[in-house]
Amino acid sequence: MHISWLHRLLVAFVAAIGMAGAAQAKDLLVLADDIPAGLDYDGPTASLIPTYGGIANLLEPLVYYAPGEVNEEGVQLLDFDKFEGRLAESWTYDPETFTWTFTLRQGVKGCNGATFNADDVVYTFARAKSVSGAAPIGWFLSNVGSIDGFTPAVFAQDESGAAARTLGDEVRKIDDYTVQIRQSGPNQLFLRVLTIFGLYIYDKETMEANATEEDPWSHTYNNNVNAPGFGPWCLDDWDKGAGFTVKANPDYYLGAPAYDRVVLRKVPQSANRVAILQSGRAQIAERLTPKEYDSLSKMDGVKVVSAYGNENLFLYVNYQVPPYDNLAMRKALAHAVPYDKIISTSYFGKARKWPGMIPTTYPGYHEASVQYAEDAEKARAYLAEAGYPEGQGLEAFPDALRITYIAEKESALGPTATVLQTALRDVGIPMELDPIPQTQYGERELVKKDMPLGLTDHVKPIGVDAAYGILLSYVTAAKGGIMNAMNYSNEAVDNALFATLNEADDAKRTATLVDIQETLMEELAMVPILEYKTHWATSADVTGVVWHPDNALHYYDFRPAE
Amino acid sequence: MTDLTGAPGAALPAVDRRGLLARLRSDRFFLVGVVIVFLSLFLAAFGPLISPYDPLRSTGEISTPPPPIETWPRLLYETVSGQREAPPHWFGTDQSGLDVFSRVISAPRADMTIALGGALISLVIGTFLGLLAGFYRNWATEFMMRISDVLQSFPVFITAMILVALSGRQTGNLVLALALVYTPIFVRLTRAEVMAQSSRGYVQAALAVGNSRWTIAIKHVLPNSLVPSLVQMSVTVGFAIILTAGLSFVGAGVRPPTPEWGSMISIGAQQLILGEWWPSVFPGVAISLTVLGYAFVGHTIEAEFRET
Repeated sequence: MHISWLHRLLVAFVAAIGMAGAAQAKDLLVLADDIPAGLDYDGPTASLIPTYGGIANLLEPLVYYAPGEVNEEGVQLLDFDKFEGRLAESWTYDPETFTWTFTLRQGVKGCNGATFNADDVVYTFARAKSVSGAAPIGWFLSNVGSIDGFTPAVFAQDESGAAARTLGDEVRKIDDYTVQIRQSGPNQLFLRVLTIFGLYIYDKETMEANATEEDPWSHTYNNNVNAPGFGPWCLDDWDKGAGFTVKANPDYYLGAPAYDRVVLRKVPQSANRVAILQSGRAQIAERLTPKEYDSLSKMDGVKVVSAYGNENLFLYVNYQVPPYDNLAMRKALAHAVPYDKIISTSYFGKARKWPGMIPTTYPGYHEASVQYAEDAEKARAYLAEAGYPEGQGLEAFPDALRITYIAEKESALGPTATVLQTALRDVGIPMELDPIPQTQYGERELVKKDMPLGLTDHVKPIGVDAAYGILLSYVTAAKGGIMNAMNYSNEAVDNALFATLNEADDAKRTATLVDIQETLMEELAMVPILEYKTHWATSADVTGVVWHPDNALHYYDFRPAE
Repeated sequence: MTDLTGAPGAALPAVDRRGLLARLRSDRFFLVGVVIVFLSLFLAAFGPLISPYDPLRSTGEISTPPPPIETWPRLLYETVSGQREAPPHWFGTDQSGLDVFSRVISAPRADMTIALGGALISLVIGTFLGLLAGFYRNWATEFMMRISDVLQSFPVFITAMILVALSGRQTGNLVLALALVYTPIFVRLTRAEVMAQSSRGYVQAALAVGNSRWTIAIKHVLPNSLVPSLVQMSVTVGFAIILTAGLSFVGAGVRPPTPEWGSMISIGAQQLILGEWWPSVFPGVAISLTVLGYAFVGHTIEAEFRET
């Protein structure tokens, strides 16, 4: 009973109204649910993936991960144990003084004609230490990497704070093409944080030319006009409500990009992105639902490839909200989840059960000895142990018995939420569904932290290391766990994690991370459900898919298929 | 219908019931409308109880298309004769594995509760306020009419959406939101009719024999002023069904996965581009038929009252 003519008509109609005259030859037309709302990584939109994408294409890091293997679907993966130079050509480390010496690449030209040198690096770190933006991501990453002087003292409101916010000799220009960065102690996260967009290098000359007395670090310019740097792309046009266009930087030091321009067009409805991609008018469609990827993979002229990266699905369980403050209740939830059914029906087999608390692809990941398989009997037993035999007594918590998720993700999360609701009701937990707007969800997740139970698929640590993931999500919120929406708090975990950040001995560090992950799993800091594959849907004439930990498209990777 | 010039307490002339029934029976549109209205009310009461699958429970069969229409008689026979382990998915299943047929016939419970509830409350409150405004003309009733004007100056859908956003998506709040947006219509209709009735002789006569104004308003004027509001009621129920579905379509209605036609269309529409038409088309047809049914009934009632 398929009505194929209706289908074709819909595709043609949506493509026609959505994309009339959007792209020209040698253009790459990318469709996304949103475009960058800002380009300042210390700015108010720094936590949004479109912002990462904008920054990652315009700016350049000092170092990055070297290419690793290519998976069976043709996706280039990265080798997280091997770094390669980007703006830094080479580097050395002195373990006595914890000092890194970077030799910078010469002859690198930015979009505004500036030539890259050590002043740009020093400017970038000085700006990060100023904590003058709305969200001090640069400072946070420097702090995580134990760069000397990047301590919470910068937030003091007195004179000591002003002094702490001024860059000293911890980041020092030796000559035009040599920079030294000193740490306060050994820290294996140092090179990893340099790969994250929040420490990419600015073009000092252009930034300073757009500074004002009130805004000496050019946040307004950076957030609303441009992110000047030395990346492969230069900003061409940016309409925050509709599109973001970059043109190739012909002087890019790794060679000019394969496309002249990349046009990123905002198409909020994923179904419309599918239609336009199908019509051949666009080359890439981002952030589709599992079902749409599954359908597109069977269509001619479209390629869908995927790889396990760091994307996952889990349940936030709020430690400060009864009945989830009870371990037995959390265990009941974990045993009630129909893992296999969700993987097969909601993710079409493109996912696997998540047996841990950080992405399994990350260095330092440990598969905990305690695992929670679907087992309705165990779930009922734990429910009784929690004091709610067959769910009796749970009616006292009507506000907590809701699976909250982002309403705009109904197509992606709705099916999973429905399957979960059915399974939880079967064991005696009378769960309701509570889709709420994205802005409201974000506020409750990151600011209020008052969501009793949240179904989430968007939290993924960009720092590729178990310690980084634990720091972000499981350390007590007041001590740095900025993504700890569960209000999980265990002093032993906090202390062990902070001790391991500066642990020079690899074996000891690994052992501590194993212990922490065992504890997190035993206590069910959250209920991990599955890891799903990151997907890319492109037209058949585009190749070069690379998975990056920020999950943003780095347009330089793409080239026309031969 | 009634002798509006009659004296207070005088018996109203009898309606020609036999003639009326004969006319109604011969009106095919009215009969179709009545069947649809009764069916919608029946499903609102019993839909979830007679649905072949639990409308809230995922069957695990994702996006199954409806069986080909030529196989329906065989499937029906097999189902009735108990040859099948599970009933067929007559309208297919949606992307969550929910049976679309079960949800379509269960949805009137939410849709009709909200639409009928909202329309009835607006009828009762609107008629009462309209009676006051028409019979007692003073600064207070004038002020009330200006508030009513302000409410009517906003698009109904936007007003309802704002009210739900402010009060929450519970069914009770949706009913009240609909009641609020539709009340001004009944206020204005009743007021106009009451003002017309007030100048009739029977009102003057009733006053002359010593009846209080309140007694006259309730006992004599109100019954004679109800016709336009009753006619409007059936039209309002139709609009209220569309408004209820519209609110759910934009995410301001009942929470999924509660079976509700608008919400089903909204979620199913995303799958149209993948060629899966059934999750959205069947609830769409259900809304259209139901609204049409109420419109047929309303149209006939209006015509009858106009003629009499």
